[in-house]
Amino acid sequence: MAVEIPKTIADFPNSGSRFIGKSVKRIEDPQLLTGKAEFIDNLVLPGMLHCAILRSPHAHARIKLLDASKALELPGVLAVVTGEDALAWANPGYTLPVGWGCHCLATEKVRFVGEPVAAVAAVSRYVAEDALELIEVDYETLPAIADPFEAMKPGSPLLFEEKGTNVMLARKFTWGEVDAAFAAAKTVVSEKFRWHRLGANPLETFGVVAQWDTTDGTLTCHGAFQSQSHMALGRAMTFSLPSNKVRFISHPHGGSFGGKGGFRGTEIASMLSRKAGGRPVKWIEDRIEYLSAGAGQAWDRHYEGSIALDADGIVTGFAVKLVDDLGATGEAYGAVSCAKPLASFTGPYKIAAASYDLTIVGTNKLPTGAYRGMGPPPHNWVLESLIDQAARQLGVDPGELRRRNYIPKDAFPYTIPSGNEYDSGDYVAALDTALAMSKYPELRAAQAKARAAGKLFGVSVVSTIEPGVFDWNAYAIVGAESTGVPEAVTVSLDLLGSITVRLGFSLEGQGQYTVVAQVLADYFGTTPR
Amino acid sequence: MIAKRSISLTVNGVRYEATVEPRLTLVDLLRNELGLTGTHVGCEHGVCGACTVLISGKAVRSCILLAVQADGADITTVEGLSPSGQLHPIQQAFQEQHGLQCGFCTPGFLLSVKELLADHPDPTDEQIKETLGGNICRCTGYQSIFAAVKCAARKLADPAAGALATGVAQVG
Repeated sequence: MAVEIPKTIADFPNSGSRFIGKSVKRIEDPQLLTGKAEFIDNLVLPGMLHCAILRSPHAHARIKLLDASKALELPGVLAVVTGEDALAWANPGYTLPVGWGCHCLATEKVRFVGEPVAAVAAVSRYVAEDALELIEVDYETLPAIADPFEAMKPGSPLLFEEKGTNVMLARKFTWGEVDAAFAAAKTVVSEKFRWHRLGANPLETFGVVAQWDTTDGTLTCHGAFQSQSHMALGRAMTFSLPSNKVRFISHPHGGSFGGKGGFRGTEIASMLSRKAGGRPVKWIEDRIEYLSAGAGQAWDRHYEGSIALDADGIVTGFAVKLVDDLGATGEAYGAVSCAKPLASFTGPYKIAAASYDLTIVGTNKLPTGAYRGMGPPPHNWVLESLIDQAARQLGVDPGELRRRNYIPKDAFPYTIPSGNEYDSGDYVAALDTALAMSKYPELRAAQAKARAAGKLFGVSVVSTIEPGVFDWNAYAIVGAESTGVPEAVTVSLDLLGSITVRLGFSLEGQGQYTVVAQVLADYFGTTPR
Repeated sequence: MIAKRSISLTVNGVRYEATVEPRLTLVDLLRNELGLTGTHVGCEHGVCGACTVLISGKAVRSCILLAVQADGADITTVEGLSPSGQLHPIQQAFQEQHGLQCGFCTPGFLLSVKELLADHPDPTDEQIKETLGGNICRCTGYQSIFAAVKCAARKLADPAAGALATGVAQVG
């Protein structure tokens, strides 16, 4: 049955807005407040074993010997997996850019500190950690590279020798007559920017309970998964399993912020389960693992940016050169963060010509991953800083310079140079509202007074466009081969008249279940209970 | 391996006996042996406060206390705040003031606040801040948590002001 999906609340077939837009109590709170929410480390399955992972202490080293025999002899240890098992049972992880990855356990060499080299499943985490101390690894250290510019030089140590280079991707995009804009400019502002590596640090680390049914080859994983269907499809590829034999169940997250992938832990726990005859295996990333080798690091960037302005202070061109230090592999999808700015490359401004010279480089650091909506903030910082510098250079108020350059409200829908269409907006009204709310003239007066007295006093105006998380057109530039999001919502009505929703995501703290209840209550004209 | 030791302790009014390795942490005993999984493990080194429980009314970090050190202790965990399912006034205040987002840190906050309000029923702003400084909320909801503490103090001072039913029926 085809259902017309309403685009506005006014299109709802029943009650209109009784719950949407109203102050409501979150329906998820009682479970959280009483400690009953089922965070992944609360899950216990019959026969469950506990995993601990042995990690590389070196940034770059060849593994000369790995002997886990003593660990296997420790009472309570059920299974040990190493790179040999990964070679036998798994494919290298899918990466962006494509082809820049390795197996979930190091096979010949390690490429970053914290890279998993072996793992143990035992009757308790305590015993599993004991067993790690009995695994013998002999490394031959190799020269390591931590700087992307060094990594690009001929003769630099190589992450993947067969590639002959550490440059994972180099593409230049030019939209419109950029060179002409800069040649004709009255004013050009150029600057270098360094955005250091940072990341998420949710209070709950990543965790997973994996169970490999050794009879029918089905893999079931419970975990603190973001985008669980993506996770399931990825693991199906890693293990060459039919996608309908991989089942991922997402549990509430104790914070995510993008850094909740725990890459490799799911694969490792799955292989341990298979090796332990199908017993479920729990891996809870510890805090040190999260900080040193988790999925929480992102945005290690070196920028050069320029804007061209005409005599009226109108920005006519925007050029960005980015060298992104992705770390050792593309497995954590940090490359998407370089692509995402295309979704709103020129921000809220009517800039006709732009270019993006993007180079993604590998170094012997932790692979960077998703963080906070995947990447635009550093790009926005570059653009906004250039606008500020231009305002100072021209002696124009930074709010006024932005106002002059906004896409006018009657120009929507508006297609930006990088190809995205903005559907609507009234940026002048938004700016005026923000300036009024902040009492901007008074702030400026207070700033002048403070500075006259020798005090530091900062006032800033910033305008950015924040695109939604997924923009596959942008992601495609770093090699993403999929479109759409494989998460679905199913709404059903049972024989007793109750409405049930099944969602492709779990709680992450934003009150999503409450929002869903509000929307459905208004749609159906019912009251949530 | 060092011999196990027998301990006994009272948790939320229930007496337990356990035989544990000396290295077992209190939080692992509570979560894995006693099944009280409302106490969470965050940083594992006594910084974040997610694992906070009360021993004789005083807040302690259960991730850096060994179970054997808690022999004979009288412990309160988050499960002890609302044994009948009716939210404790502090829990009600956190819900009303949006004092939680992901909720992972919340049990620790609740117990730190319980200690504060037992010692200082009408706390100063500084006392509230000092207490909250012992717990980390990575969703960064401190202003709301601060408001929740004030609200909880009012509720505890005047029970008639609290006591709201819980659950989805309150939407709207």
